[in-house]
Amino acid sequence: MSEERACGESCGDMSRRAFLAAAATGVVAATAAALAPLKDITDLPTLEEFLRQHYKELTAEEKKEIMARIAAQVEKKYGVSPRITDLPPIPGVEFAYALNIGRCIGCRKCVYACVKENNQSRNPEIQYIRVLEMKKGSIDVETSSTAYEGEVPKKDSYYMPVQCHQCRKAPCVKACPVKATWQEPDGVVVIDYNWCIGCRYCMAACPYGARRFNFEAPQIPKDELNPEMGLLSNRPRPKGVVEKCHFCLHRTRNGQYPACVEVCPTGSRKFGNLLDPESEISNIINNKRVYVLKEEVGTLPRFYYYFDI
Amino acid sequence: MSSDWDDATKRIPRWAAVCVVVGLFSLVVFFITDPIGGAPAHDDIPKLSPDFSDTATVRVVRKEMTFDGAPCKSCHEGTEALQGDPKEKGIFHEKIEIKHGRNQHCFNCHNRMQPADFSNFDGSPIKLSQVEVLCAKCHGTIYRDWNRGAHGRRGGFWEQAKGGPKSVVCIACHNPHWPVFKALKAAPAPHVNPRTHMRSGEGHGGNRQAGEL
Repeated sequence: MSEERACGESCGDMSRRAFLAAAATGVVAATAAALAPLKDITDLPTLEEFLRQHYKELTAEEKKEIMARIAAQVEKKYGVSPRITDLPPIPGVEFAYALNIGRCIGCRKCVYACVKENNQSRNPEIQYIRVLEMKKGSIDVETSSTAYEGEVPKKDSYYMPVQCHQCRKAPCVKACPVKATWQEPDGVVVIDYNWCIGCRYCMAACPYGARRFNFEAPQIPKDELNPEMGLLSNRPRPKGVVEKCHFCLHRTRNGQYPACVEVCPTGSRKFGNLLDPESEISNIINNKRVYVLKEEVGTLPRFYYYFDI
Repeated sequence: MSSDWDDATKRIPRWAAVCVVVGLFSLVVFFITDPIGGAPAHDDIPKLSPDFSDTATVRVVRKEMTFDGAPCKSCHEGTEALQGDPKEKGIFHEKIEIKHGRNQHCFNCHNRMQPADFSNFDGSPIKLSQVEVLCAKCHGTIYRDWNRGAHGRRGGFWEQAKGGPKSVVCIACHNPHWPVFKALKAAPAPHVNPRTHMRSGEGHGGNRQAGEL
């Protein structure tokens, strides 16, 4: 104290008032600059989205409003007017999928047909289907590879594509703490993208590695957006939610085949109604040698691998 | 005394004041320029090749039997049974490469009397539009599976009420002279995100690799 007094005016001291004014200006400016990146956040939910109920509690009118809102958002972002539907499960239909492991050549066309059909993010890349290149004579997925390139099939290899198995006892459904994922009456495990909190417990629970997380907002080229959308299936997802294969719900509940089935050049992929004894899927399960992946974990998948003979 | 004391406490050493104020404004500059934060800039969104979602079959199914555009009838009148090895006789058929297992004889499939048709066991003709019946002569189990939907591609609808599935014919995928399914070029391998995969096979996160399955 006394030293300061001794120094006095000669040291050019600043008045406390002036100092506080300059420091306060600096603090305000620094805080404003630190918070400035917040203005770039464009995907904050609207109030209606924030207060939205769980999908199962929505009335038909509310669903209509939600679909109209999503359509407006999509049109604003992509310049494409989408046709969003929410088709109900068909009574007496249980979907199942079969894949002929002996015919698949690993060309990965299914992967990219799925990406296009389901509006998956191109960058960062999200793909529902993984094609594993397996050594002939082995079913050990630990020695498989997804990185093969060039002409396929390779010598001494066979190919096992893996996607969501739509399990009857789905571990992901049990793991979800907020019931954002559940099994529909036709067997498809779906996700309410607005209810998902992004905790990724379901991804840890899934023994097939079938779920994908949107670490960033999905990027889709405007001219490649598929305008045929389903509320629970391929409408654009927000950042921070989990997504996965849903058997192309918007197509299959309309009687069509999933995109991967339609594109497969070898005809290895089979899809149909398990409850119809005349369907191709019933025929395969009754007459072919069928196995499921990781049978021992007790998930009872609706996705079967089969081979001829 | 008291006024002196008040006066002294209201004064800040200039060096301290300058440090604080300069420090705060350098923070402003730091936050605005953001030299260490920020996600890496995105590249252009990569486009998908339209080939990957093309649902066409690997072969084009011809509507009628021709050779280099010429109908069979222009050379083969069909009045007498064809004999011998056609590779030695014409300028056309030598290009045909037969790699159909032990089935090395043209007239196992082609009709001797009517070359635009195929031949059944008894020599009766099978039309091109029913070519699956010809293939079924040897490949009975595959024909059975094809009818049930377990073999071969299907388009249309799984639901019968919407029109039902439509099978594509054998020769839409198999070249009858060389029937093994031809190799295709694989679409690109999945991109591995370096931020979720520190080393191959040792990462975790959204895009699991095979080893973690």
